[in-house]
Amino acid sequence: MRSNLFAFFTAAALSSVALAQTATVTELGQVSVVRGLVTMSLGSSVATVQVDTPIFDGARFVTSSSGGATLKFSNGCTLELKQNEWVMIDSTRDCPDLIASIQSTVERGAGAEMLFAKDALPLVGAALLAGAVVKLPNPEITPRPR
Amino acid sequence: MPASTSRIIANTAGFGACCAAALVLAAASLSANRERTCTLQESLGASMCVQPVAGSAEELDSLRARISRNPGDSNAYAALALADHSPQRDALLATASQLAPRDPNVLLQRAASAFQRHDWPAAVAPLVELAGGRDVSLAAQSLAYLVGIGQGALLEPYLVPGSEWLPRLLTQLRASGAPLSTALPITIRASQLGVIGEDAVRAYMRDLKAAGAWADAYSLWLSLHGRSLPILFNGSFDEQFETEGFDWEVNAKVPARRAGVLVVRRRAEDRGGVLDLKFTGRTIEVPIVKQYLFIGPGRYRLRGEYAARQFRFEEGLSWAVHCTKGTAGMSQPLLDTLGEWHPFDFEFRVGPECGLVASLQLEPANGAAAALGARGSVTFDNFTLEKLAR
Repeated sequence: MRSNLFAFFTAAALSSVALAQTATVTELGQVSVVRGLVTMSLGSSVATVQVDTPIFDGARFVTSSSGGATLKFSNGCTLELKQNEWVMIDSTRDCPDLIASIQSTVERGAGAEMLFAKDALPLVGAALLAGAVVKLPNPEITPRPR
Repeated sequence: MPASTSRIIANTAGFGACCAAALVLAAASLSANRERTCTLQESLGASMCVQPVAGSAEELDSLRARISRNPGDSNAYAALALADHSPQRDALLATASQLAPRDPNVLLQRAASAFQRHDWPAAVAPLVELAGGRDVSLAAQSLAYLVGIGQGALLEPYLVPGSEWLPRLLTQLRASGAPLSTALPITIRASQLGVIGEDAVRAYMRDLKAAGAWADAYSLWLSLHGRSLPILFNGSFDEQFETEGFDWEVNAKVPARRAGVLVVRRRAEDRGGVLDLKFTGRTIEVPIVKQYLFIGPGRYRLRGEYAARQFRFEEGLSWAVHCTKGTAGMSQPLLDTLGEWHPFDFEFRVGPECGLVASLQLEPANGAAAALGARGSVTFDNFTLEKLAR
């Protein structure tokens, strides 16, 4: 209920700005699923996206590196935003065109590699074991009798 | 026999008996002390004893002997769990963990064992204890590894007031050159719970910006300010500037005594806060002021007011919006106004190629003039940004 209220007030706040500026704002659908952090820019404001956040023409949805969202449109179109993606809602585009307009927020190859690749696991495990062999300084935990 | 002689004999005999008794007691105490010190290791003098080679059969025997004499000897159990590499090791480690749950070597061994099994939940508790309570960098590295492979949610239950492991994890993440974004969810959670200082959050945000992780940096910024923000932040200059985020950033590359322009936010009568610039005649560092705008494609108009007094600068100043590739728009040159407030505005278009952010910045209208410096003062106030119809 609280999230619905928040979505309503966010939408109202954002859409009022947009209304003042574009005079034509129609709700095109709603956000049905949100994972992690997703932001929506509309007019001159930015808000955190939650489930049921309305979708308006001209809104920009951006997912963080841990985020994702499903945008369901009244016309049956569904957009799946994965992590590090963004899309600008344009009501003049048809569904396939809108899906094709989803862009990545990271340049391919730039910082996308995981330094902690799966292959790195044995190294970390070995380091831990080595650390266990090389004893850590241990102030007395169990008091010794004097 | 004279009485004096018999007294001497009696005294000598008594002295001898005392000496003998003392020797017997000394021998007994020496034996007991050696037992306590070297076998049971129950004295500070243990370091002076000849120790068996680590991991040798002699050491294992010695430790088992200690345990058989004192089944509650947690130190012996901990040492045995580390030294024993037989199949009994896991059982020994379990017992040692019960008897000496906070022994750092036992904790490290538990983490190592869990890592070997890929049992991430079991690895987290000892690593958090080591990284937080004892600042063991290897543990913080391992936690950073877990966050890096997407297991950060396992760490969230350990976000409790007073915990210190998260800043250490972030330090290790930074030092390793790993993607900083992997720690975003847990950092935001920690910020919401108030278990990480604002300075640490801002430092992390600065690193995200420097790494070009703009969506993550802005999500963090948004989480610090509620759930909705104007794209242009603090346009009225009424609030103190917040560092490392998406507020106004003043160029501070040059110390104030050598700066070409001194920039301060101050209170002005009837206006609240204003942005005040005093030009010193020295070379101007560019940009003078900037703000990163988390802005989507479209047409926008920026409005503001300014007053310039005794302002002498060839071709004046301009506010400009720059994308990673090219300039989206800029104001007309702002010149002297004899101290009167004048409005200004300009439109700009942000294209899809602009990226996630643009930089709104104040700079000389003619870049080459920056080297010549300027004189006088300029004050700005009441900035607003609006999105225009397509």
